[in-house]
Formats: sequence, C-alpha cells, structure tokens
Amino acid sequence: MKKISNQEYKQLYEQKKPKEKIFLNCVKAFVVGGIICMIGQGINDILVKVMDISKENAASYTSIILVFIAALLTGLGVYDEIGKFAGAGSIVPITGFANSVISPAMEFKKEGMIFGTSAKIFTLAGPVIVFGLLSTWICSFIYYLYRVIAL
Amino acid sequence: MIKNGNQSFNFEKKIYIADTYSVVGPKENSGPLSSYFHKYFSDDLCGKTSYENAEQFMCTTAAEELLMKNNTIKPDIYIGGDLLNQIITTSFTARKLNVPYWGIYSACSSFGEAASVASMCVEAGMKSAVITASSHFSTAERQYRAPLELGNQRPAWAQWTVTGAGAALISDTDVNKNGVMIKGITIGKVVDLGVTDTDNMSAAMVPAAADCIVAHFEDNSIDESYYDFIITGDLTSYGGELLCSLLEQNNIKIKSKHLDCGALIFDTKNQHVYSGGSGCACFSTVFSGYFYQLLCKKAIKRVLCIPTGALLSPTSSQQGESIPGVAHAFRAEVE
Amino acid sequence: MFKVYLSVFIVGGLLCVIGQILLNKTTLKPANILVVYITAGVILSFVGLYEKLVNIGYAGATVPLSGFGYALYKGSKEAIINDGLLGIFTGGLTGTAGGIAAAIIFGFLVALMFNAKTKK
Repeated sequence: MKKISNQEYKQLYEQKKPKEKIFLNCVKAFVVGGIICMIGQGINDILVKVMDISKENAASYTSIILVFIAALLTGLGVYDEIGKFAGAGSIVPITGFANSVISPAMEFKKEGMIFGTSAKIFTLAGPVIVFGLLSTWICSFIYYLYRVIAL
Repeated sequence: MIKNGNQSFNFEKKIYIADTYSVVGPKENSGPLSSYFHKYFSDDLCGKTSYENAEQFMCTTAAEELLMKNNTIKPDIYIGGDLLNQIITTSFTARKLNVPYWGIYSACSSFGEAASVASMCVEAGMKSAVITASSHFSTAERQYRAPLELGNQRPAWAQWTVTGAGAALISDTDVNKNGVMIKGITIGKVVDLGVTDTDNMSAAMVPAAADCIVAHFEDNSIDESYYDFIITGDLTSYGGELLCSLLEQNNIKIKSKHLDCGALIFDTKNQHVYSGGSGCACFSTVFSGYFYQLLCKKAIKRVLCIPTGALLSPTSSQQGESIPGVAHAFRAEVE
Repeated sequence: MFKVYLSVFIVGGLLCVIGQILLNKTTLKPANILVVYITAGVILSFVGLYEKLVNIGYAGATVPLSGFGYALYKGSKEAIINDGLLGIFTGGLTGTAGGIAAAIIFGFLVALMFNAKTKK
C-alpha cells in the first residue's frame, strides 16, 4: 500500500465520519436536564413549604430523593434509555452521578458481593469524588490561609 | 502450499468449507438477514445466569450443531477465537467439544485467522477442522466500554457488537457436495495510522484491510475484476467508503464490489446500532449464514473475505496508545 | 412561582447543554464530564460565582453535578469558620454526605434486587 501519513489519514476519515446531530442533541439535553432540575425544585419546595423542613436539610433530602429515583430507574432499566435520548441531559444532574454508581454495581453482581458489587461500585464515580474532594481541599486551604492572614 | 509474492499462499489440495452454522441473538434476528441464520435465541441470556455463559452457550451450540449435522466427520482440531480476556468463550467451548484445540486471537478478524490456520492444517494433512468465532454485545460492552445500565450516549460513528457465533467445517472431503473451497489466503500485517478514538474502530481497521487487499492483488497478480464480491468484516458503510477512497489512491476501484458484514447485518436506519455491527460474530455469522448459502447456490462464485480486527485492549487505550488494525483475507470460491 | 420554575428549567437546561457540547465536540466520556462538572463547581464556588448562579437558578444550579461541587465547598467553608483547620478535611464530605451515602446504599440494594439487561 502507498504510504499515507497519520495526518493525511486523519483528514480523510474526519471528512467521511458520519455527522453528529449536535443541535438536536443539545435541545434534547436542554429539555430533559431542565425537567430533572424542575423535579428537584419541586421536591425541595414540598419539603420546605409543606413539610416544614429547614432549607439546609431540604437540600440534602432533595439529593437523597433524586438519587433514590435514579437508583430505581436504573434498576428497572429505564435510566439507560433516558440517557440514550438525552445524553448530557441525564448525565450532568445528580441523577447521572447516581446512575454511574449504581450501573457498575449491578453490572458486576455476578463477580460476587465483595469483589463485584462493592469493589466496582465506584469505578466510574470514584474519580468524581476524588476530584471533588481534591479541588475542595485546595480551595478551602487557600480560604483558610486567607482567614488566618485577614483576621 | 505455494507462496505467491510476499504474504499470500495458495493451496494445492482442494480444501472445502464443507458446512457452516450460525447462531444469533434477538437483535440480529430482527435485522435484514434474519432468514439466513440457522438458529436464533429470542433471549440474549439464553436462560443462563451470566452473559459470558450465554456467549459460551451460543458458541457451543454453533459448534455442536455443525458437528451433529455432519456426524460422519470427526474433526482433527478445533480452532477459534473471541473477544473476551483469555478467549474464555472459545476455550470453554473446547472443554465441551472433546476435540484437540488451538485458541487464536486477532479480535474481530478471528474468523479469518481461524479459517486460514484450519485450511493450512488440512493442506498439511489433517482431515478436517472445525472453526468458530463468537462475540456478545453485553460481554464486550462490560469489558471494553461501560456498564449496560449506564445512561451514556455514544457517537454516531460507534458500532454495535454483534451477539452470536459462527462455525465452519474445513475439510478435505466435500461431504455435502456444496463445492465451496478455500483457494488461498493472504496473511495481514498489523497497520496503525494513529487512530486513538476507541469509538472509531472503523477508521482504525480500514488501513489494515486496504493493506491486505493491495498485497493480495499484487501477490496474485490479479485485480478486482477476478472477484464477484470483496467482503470486509465490520467496517460499516462509513468504513467502507473510507476503504474505497484509500484503495483508489492505490488505483484499485472496488466500490461496486464491496460489501461489509457490519453494514449488512443490521438495518442501520431503523435499528439503534450507531453506524453498524462489529465483533467477531459480525463476520462469522454473516459469512456462515448468508454468504455461504449464496456460494452453495452458486449465486456468487468468487469472493475475497477480509474480516478486520482492532487489536486494542482497555489498558492500551487508557495508556494513550493508538489502535493497531489487522485483516486476514481468504479466497472462497465455487467452481 | 412560575418564574422560579422557568429559571430553574433554563439554568439547569443550559448547564446540561454545555455538557452535551463537551460530549459531542471533545473526546470526553460521561465519566470525564462528571469530573469536569464537580471540579468546575468547586472552583466557581471558591471565586464566588456559583453562589450567584444558585440565586438565579435555584435547583437548576444545585441539581447538576456542579451543584454537588458547590455543596462540597460550601460545607468546607462553613466547617473552617466553625472548626478552623480541621474543617478543611471534614467540611466537604459533611456537606455532601447525604447524596454520597444514598448513592452507595441505594446502589447496593438495587444491585441486589435487579440484574443488568442488554441495551435495546
């Protein structure tokens, strides 16, 4: 075969690659993501206004309830269908985080409760918590130094 | 065995593909080729407890049914490959078959490699060999990609792993008088043009297929007019276009003769499969189901089969390595 | 009331659209996007911008994973005010303990009850 450089080949296949319908995908992500957030707001409002729970606790309860709903939908095999349609619309909300915890836990069930479900539960979500804590630690450390110096 | 050129070998004996058997899952069976497959399972778990067990069951079914249909033949060797780590599907099938066994691996081109090795065995004096290649969407997904219930979205150029298994009986006697022969093989080189996107397997495999086709034509001093069809494994229609334009740079025009199993097995417009099928079973089921029947009926007489494989592992791609491709060609002909 | 829900919808939707563009235009996979969002949430809260977004978008800003980052940093900040140095370590997880514990516990229970099915 005639020599073709990696660059030339990349140009060729990028040009032939099937096109992604980005605009349509964004509309779907917008609508589904927006709806999930509205559900969150609804739960929060019910907790605060009807059940008279403090604002801080209501925020935690909202997360827990959304995670529960996502867990149930993942178990029933509905969440991956939503994800197929909505893309980032169902990945970015906390329900997507829950889905990324629960789906490997279910997937590796056959490998046993310890080396399967429990060991694999954070294969996808582990990095999220690591990076979340790491960046929080760095930012809070700066904030702490600022407080020590300023006061 | 006669060596032609650099990497092609033609056989002196008559080596027959005496019979084939194909087993597919539910999604493949609702595709355009459903009437050609020998057997399908409406549940891709096949009543087993894990998808790995289901894949083994499909592979075992394909091999056992094939041997049952041709019970006058006792194969000298079983050669096969699949996608799972340590090729467990094939080895666990061998555990059931009670036939001497060689496991091979060249990703989705495993059927091509198995057919090549098997015909060389027969050329060297063995009476017959049984070959299989299998894959399963759900086992491949967990090993290479993401958990099944993860709500992710893959790009339009991604591929859908075919669930199923294809088996063939390579023999020196044409027990069923089908007349389908393997005339020669071209062993492919590993080609890597720096594709790193693990969703873009087509682009990773096309250079290897092009390289193998060019070598095959040069070695045998023939051109595309010799064949009725040139069949690739799992490039899909996007990869097919890419292959044609890469070959045009080498003055080979196969556009009117090129067919791809990944594009044929699914209805890419109406079935949710992204750009088309992939996996070891993609070529093995389409060849042993569809093309073998066409060859038997003499609807087509000479085909060049080039299953293609992407030789990556999850580790290699996580470490940023590009994806090497490979393709192994064999000539299936009837007289 | 209607206005609140409209801004929740718009802010939440737009945050997801950014994710979708990252998903389609870059090689980032869903797991990478979650990491990007939580880190961005923490940093934006640190510079004080995320608080403003929460005041406009309410749940539209707290439900996306960047809101989880906001909760991490907010918890940490409060703990520093109360406990000093110790707060750097304890505050983040305190703020998000509910969500993380729920994910682990419900995840485990769901995995016990259901089996993963092939995608359609």
